[in-house]
Amino acid sequence: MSEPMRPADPASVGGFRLLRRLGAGGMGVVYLGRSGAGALAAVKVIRAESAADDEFRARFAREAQLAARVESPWVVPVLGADADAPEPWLATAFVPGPSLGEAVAEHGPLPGSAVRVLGALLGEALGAVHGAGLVHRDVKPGNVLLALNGPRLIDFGIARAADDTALTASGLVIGTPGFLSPEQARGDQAGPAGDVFALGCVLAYAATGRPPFGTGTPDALLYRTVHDEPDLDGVAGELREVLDACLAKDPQDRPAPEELRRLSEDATEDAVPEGATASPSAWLPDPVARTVAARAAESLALPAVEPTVVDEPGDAASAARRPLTSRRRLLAVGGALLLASGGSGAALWAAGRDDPGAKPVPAAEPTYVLGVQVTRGGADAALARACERAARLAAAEHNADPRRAYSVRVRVLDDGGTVDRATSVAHEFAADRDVFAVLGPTGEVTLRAASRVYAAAKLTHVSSTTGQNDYYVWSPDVTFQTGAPHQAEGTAIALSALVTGRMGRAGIVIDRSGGSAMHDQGGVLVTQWRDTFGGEVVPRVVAEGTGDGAAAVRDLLSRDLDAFVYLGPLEATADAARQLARAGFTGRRWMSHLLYGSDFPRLAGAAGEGWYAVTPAVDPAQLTTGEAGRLTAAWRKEYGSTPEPYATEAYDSTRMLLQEFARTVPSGGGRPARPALAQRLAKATYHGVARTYTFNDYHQYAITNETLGGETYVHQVRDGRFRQIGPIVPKQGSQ
Amino acid sequence: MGGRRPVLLAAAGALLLAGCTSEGTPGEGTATSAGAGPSGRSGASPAPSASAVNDAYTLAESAAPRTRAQAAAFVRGLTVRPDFFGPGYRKRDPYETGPGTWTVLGEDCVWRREPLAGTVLASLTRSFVRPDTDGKGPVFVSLTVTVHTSVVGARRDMAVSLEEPLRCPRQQLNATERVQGMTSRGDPYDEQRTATSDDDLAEFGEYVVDGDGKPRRFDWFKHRLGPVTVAATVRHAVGADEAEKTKVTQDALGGVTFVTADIDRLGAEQAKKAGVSGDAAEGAGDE
Repeated sequence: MSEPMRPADPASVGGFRLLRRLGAGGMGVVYLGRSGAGALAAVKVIRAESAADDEFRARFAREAQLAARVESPWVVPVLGADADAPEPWLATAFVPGPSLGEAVAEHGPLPGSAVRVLGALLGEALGAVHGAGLVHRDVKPGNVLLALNGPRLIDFGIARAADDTALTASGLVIGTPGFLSPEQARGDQAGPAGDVFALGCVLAYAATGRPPFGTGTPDALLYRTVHDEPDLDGVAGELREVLDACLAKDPQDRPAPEELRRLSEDATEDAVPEGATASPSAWLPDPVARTVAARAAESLALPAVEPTVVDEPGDAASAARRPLTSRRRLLAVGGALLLASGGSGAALWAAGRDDPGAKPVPAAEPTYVLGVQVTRGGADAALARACERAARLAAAEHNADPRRAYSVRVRVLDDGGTVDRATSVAHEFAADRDVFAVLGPTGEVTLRAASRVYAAAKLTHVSSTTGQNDYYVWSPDVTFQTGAPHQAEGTAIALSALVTGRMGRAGIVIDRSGGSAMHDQGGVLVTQWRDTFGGEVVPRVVAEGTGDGAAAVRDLLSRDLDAFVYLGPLEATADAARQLARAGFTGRRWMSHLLYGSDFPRLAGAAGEGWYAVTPAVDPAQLTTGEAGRLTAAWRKEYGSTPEPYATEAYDSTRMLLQEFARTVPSGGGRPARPALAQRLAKATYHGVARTYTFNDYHQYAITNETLGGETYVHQVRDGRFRQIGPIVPKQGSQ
Repeated sequence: MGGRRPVLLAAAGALLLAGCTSEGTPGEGTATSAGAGPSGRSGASPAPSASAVNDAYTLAESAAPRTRAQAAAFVRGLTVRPDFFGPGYRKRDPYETGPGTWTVLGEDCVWRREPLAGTVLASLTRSFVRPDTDGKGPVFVSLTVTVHTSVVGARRDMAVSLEEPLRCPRQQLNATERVQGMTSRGDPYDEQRTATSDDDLAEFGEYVVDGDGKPRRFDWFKHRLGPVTVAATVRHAVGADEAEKTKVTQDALGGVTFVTADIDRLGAEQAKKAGVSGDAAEGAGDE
């Protein structure tokens, strides 16, 4: 990642004044430099000890010479190199990016016309690389930067001359799993055809938002690359034909890179509407073009020469994270996010995107960034969408206020639901000095992973969709949770039972396949139902991955129950619903609060009718208060629907962050210190659409007996949908 | 790249007691870091791309004992020293119980020693005591290693253990002694909570002896490694204060982890002998 210059860093190399560090690797350091003429450059300086080896210097010199011979507008040009300097260096033009990986992660798949332009131009670029006698060997979304007039292929860091067999005799796999050819995956020598295969992967990724061989461990990716067919679902027509050819397992069957040119012949036709003038950026969709333009503008604002930075006392961590939009940084981002964006939700996303938060703002106005960390794929896709939309709407409302002192931009990153990617995403936000707070993560595991990073970076974040407070052990300052604890939702079921009838005898299944949240909720439910409210319980805990839920339900059906609770994952709960329906059970039935908004009504069909979900998640369209009506109307205007489940809580959380952040911004302007927001938030009271938020000692939404009754909502499945009946204990005049 | 610097799972070994107890106010969760076991884990230096999920103590089904005789030899062969659980412990008399019987909580909420179930190959309990030296009373620790016929069988046993305090808020141990008020949590390793093995269960409650004025604190841990479970109970000294109890709990949990680490190592060696790579065996533990 990029950092300010350190005292030991050289002030200049080969006529380039060095401005800051873009990154450091095993071989040396990459700096952002400025030539005497003022052009920005990425200057790679090899450490003396790495260059001690004569063979290395020879290879470096050859690489630089060959790279300098590449002539293509779509390949980043070499500006200079010196293999004989005590510390050899290589300078290439600096492209502010973003990388293709970052663009897709942030904005979703590119439209077909853009993918075809991308394919044609990158094919041309590879043709020029191969023509110069080089094989790139690491063509991937992170190595493709986007500029307004076309892509740029970068990073010859591991490029080798095609006739240099000695360097690959080791059989080491060189490249990035998931974006390298079957022959490279097997450790065989990679020729130009390997680059064509990798380009096919890159284009598939750009078109679908998914790496064509999925995500996972390098070993799994390599295996799938060799043995499986690529995932090209959703790619059709000529692009499909070209990708099929590029991704042929046999290198002999792949086209020459120049042959991809045919992709562009009709691409420009749909890229430019008839009668319109083609602007230079017409090949990119608007949101991506805006990002590209913003990056370019930021790099223009870099100082001619920046003095070595001395850490601010007491906040060394934030001093090390000075702003940077640099090629190396974008490289890193591209690499991380590329893997992060494998979710199937990505395509869906692009289709329904609306981006009210990204309207251009006057250049003089300060802009702060609200990060949104979500898991777009899998079961949490809907949750992610609600959070992203809520953040964008809240930011747009802020930006529409003429009295604002600054504008707010929303930046969304997908953490793929895994520890590694959640950690990477958090590092990415932490390193962006403009990010003042983050909404998310959306899942318990990603929250635990990311909160460690945010704690170290003192970056405040609020998770509105989780209910476990483990984070407090390692992140007692900056992590907040506006989602209610799962335990409280156990009490909520018992309380709703008490309010709606006699307690009676409840069969309660805790299905461990649903994760530890099921036990959080179920354990409390059992004790509350029995010990606090005086009912009877027959509890059953079902082992994970056994399918024993059905046997537990069968057993409970023989126990003369008045009520039934199944706390488990979606499919198992729907199965239980069908089992109860077949048995003619007519007592009250509850599912886990986590299934509110899920596909349960459709999956369970008629058997799901009448089931309850009790949750703090509100449907504001069913409330009559002014705030709920205002949000519902704004949402409908922006997104064409009423606010979806969990949208209101994400919206409240974003507004609370914005409100408290505003109070930390110094009146004379300037950037507030990051820890200030968390300190305010810990003491804040925020009146949301349907809930009042304060935090307890563990930075968890402070639920009280009153809010548990009055601000927790009973939803019932009716006519195949969740219908909000009202709060457990209706407040006078609220309904 | 610096930005992908791994953040160490600083609290990975810490036992986190989060959530409300049966008598607690909903939402007022308590989060207490109650110390870490021995950190023999390699989790301190994961590569940025390495997933901590692969680090659970586990035992591949293929490396586990297959017959009752093998299982009995396995549970007897484990090294379990009294000082695993902290200074001052010694073996109780009788020291070992099993391996052909185990304890079962009946429908009537009474614990009884019974012959092994068909899905269990061996179960051996070792008992330890830290004698009273300061007038606060002795501490009793037991450790039970159980070999199930399959991973699924062991998972079901973990579910049974979680169900017990829910269906029996008072569990009778014998005519005069019982445990009560147990709250529990079960943490699968892949949820990144506090688990060190495939699945860690922890329960906390009270140990009551009829005629005694004051209940003692009672802890129960049960960790699953593939088809094997390692359970420990701790009956605290009646006169110990909170800090002393926390220390005793930490130390005892450390003893459990010595044993689970040993089983993990034995399994990896066994797999290597059988020609399977250690990594594959590790990953195969649960699936």
